[in-house]
Amino acid sequence: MRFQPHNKKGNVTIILLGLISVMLIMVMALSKRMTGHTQLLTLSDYTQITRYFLESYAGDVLQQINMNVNEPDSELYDAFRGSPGNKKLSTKFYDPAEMLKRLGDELKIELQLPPEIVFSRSEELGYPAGFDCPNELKGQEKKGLLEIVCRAKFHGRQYSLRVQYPFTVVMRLTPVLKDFMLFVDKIAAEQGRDKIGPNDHLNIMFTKDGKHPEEVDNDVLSLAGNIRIKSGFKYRPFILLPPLDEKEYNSSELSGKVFLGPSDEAVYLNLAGDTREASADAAATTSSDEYAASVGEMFLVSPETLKVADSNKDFDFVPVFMNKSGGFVRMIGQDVMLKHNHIAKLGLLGFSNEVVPETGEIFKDTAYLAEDFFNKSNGAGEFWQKLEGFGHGFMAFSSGLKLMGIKPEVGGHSRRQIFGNVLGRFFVLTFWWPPSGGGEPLKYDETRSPSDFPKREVYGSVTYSFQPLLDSQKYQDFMSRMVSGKNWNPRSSSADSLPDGFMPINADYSKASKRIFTNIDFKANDGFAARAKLEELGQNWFLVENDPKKIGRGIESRVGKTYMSGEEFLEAAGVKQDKFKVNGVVYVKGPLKLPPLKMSNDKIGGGVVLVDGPITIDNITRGYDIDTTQFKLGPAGNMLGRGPAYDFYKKIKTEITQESFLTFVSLRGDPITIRGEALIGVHLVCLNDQNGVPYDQIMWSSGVRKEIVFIGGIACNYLNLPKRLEEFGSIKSSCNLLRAPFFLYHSAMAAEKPALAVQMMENMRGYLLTAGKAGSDEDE
Amino acid sequence: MSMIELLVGVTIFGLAMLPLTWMGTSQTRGAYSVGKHMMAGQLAASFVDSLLGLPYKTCLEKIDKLSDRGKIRVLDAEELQNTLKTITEAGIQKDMETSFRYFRCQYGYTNNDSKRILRLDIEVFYRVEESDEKSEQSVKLSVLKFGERNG
Repeated sequence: MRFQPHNKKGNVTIILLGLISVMLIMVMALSKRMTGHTQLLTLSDYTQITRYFLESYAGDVLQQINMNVNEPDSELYDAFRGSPGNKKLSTKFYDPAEMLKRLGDELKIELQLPPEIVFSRSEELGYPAGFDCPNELKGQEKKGLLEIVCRAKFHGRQYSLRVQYPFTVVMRLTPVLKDFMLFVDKIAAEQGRDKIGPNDHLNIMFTKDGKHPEEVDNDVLSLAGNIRIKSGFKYRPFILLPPLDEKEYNSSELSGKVFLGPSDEAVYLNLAGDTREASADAAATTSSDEYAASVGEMFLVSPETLKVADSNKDFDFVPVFMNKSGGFVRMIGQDVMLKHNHIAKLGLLGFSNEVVPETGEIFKDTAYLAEDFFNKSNGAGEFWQKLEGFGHGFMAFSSGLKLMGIKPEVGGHSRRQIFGNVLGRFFVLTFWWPPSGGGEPLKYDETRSPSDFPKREVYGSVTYSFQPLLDSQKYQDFMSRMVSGKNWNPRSSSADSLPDGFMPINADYSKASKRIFTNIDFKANDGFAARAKLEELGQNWFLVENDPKKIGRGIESRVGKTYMSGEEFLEAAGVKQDKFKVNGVVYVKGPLKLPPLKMSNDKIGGGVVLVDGPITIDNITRGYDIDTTQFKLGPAGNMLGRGPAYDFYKKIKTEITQESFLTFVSLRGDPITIRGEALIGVHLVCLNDQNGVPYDQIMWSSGVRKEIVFIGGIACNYLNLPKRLEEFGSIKSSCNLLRAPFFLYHSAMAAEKPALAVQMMENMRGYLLTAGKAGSDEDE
Repeated sequence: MSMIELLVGVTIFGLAMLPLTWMGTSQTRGAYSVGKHMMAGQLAASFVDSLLGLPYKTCLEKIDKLSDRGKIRVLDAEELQNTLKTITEAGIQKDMETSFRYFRCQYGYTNNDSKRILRLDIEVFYRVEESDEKSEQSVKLSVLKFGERNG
């Protein structure tokens, strides 16, 4: 075989070259494709790196907004609190963090300043049912979106991140509730059905010699069977002091309101008082610290309470009836003029050991018994009958809760408004003195004919008769009785139609009368009004909807931040940096154990801390060097406008504002335990009744050994008063007058303009990352 | 066509094919490497995101522990393990384990406690040549995490 020359010689070479060319083209195409991939990959890397850098940048801007927005001197403070709109914010406040700059340098990313910050949306926050927000405050609480645009250059490309952060502007204190120094919406349950006797856990403060001895005399205890307090234990009263500042003392808006509820039940408070003369209440001359003042609360009774008393003159210290030795039994009261210049003596007695027939002095060595005044068995008044059954010892126990403080040295009590059906209980002893022939008590008798007044025949020839000045006056208007001596059911008649014979503790100054105040009468200094029962307002505000799709219009819609533990919250609040910044409404998954807060007011950012679990609170002294032993309860005259307590209050009155006021809320009714003796500028709230019966909601730990000073407000369902008085009793006191904790309202809570806090949320919305050629706005 | 011609042709073709084959192999390796790089980037981003999602203090504690461990297998990372646990199909799980066999990651951080700013550095390493430790490459992401400050 031999190879033949072929006319297609060299074709193989051509084919091979062709093949190589095709393969080269394929390889080049593949190479180009891979280069494209690599470029895409590089771009993807750059984008990812820049994305994290821009997110860091936006985070830095957000953190600095958070730092500035609640500082009253900053530009942002006013910007967020102003009228809503799509306005651009000044970025003068922003100075990039060192770590951000360093990161940019390392990554060779050029940070472009300033960022752009614009309000993109804003809408008004609503209020739950019953909260009537005044027009001038509408829209101040709002929610909206803040848009931040951050830009950076990287490898010749311009990257831009546009994100929106939600924000809310909320009040730092709870509207309506903050105007109450004490708000206990189910306290009526602490008095039982009888409202007197062993199940009455409110009137348990032993009273004797014008004081509240810490321990009860055993002879009185034996006359008050099954009373809630225990022999051998010490008790001290819960006294809500009147404002120490004169302007606040005379202001119903600034003196701290009180609500004892619920609105459809009555609460009876036994007024303390005996036969001591006013002079016994004067300060001793030997030492400015020594007082023998009375804790009597008869100053709460004014003449218009009693129909037949002369409301144009004050009560005086009057002789009412005589004892066997010819001396007079004197007490506070009034001589009521009758026709023919006859006189009816009205004597007023509170609840005190001296009034107890078996142990007191009133009826001792007299020709009279208590039943000569109050009648007996079925003829007696409702509560008197019960007292006879339970034991006269209960007459020695006055209210453990003193809503108007202690007796002022001069003048009437403060203009504190008491809401709820709170009735003052005391005794009226009426004695008729004809011109001669001795006198006689006007015995309680509801069934007696209203015109059947007593008559007395003297020497068998002259007959004197009791003739009231006015024909319209009835026997029942004069007779001896227990005022607020019946169990009145507010459900059966409205508060406006309270029957005769009851004394609401509240005083209506505009009408110079005492009447029951309901939610209709509520008007806060900031203009808020209450359009629902007060107890409903508390529930509505703190309502947390079970349905996750619904959000309550109260506190739930105002929560700005959520912390999964107490420690996490404390860290965010800056406790380690000696700060306590709440600045809004925060939710904390409890328990929350607060350390002592000793930082000054400027390092405290006020707000509401909602705790889902128990709360333990230590001292909150705000940088003040407080010696609580200086807070002695002197006669109001010694505290109003002078004294160490006043000096301290004068200082904190302006230094503590709503901007730094702290509210702690036990969201599910878990106990709030106070471990410190001094709590200044605090509102404690526990309004979610877990048990349906009184239990410890706000309590003082046994570790509190110094005198208690509490300046702020308390809102709860129950006080569980016997336990509280026992806690107070276990604390040593150097006060001679009245050994009791020092509770004061702070008028900042009732400021005319509520302070607002801005809360920035971290959950980004409207995330948009764009890239373009440097110097070009074109996005890719 | 003579035998010589044929031999010369085949030789030329062979010689021409060598760089082409090398280029092909290189491109394939490159493509494989790109895939790995992307996977490393995705892993790094997911590690960053998972740390960013934690509360500040928890994040700090976690990265402190992780950074002490030095360079670790990504398969030992908690997040990836959790992902693997959720995969019920054995084949996919095995594939993932094979793919990430030589992936390593390393955590680093810088903390400014007073300003509550935490810098997170996450670097994920992969091998271009699985058998060659020296061919290790990495993707590094850095981000700042800001602790909540209410003021």
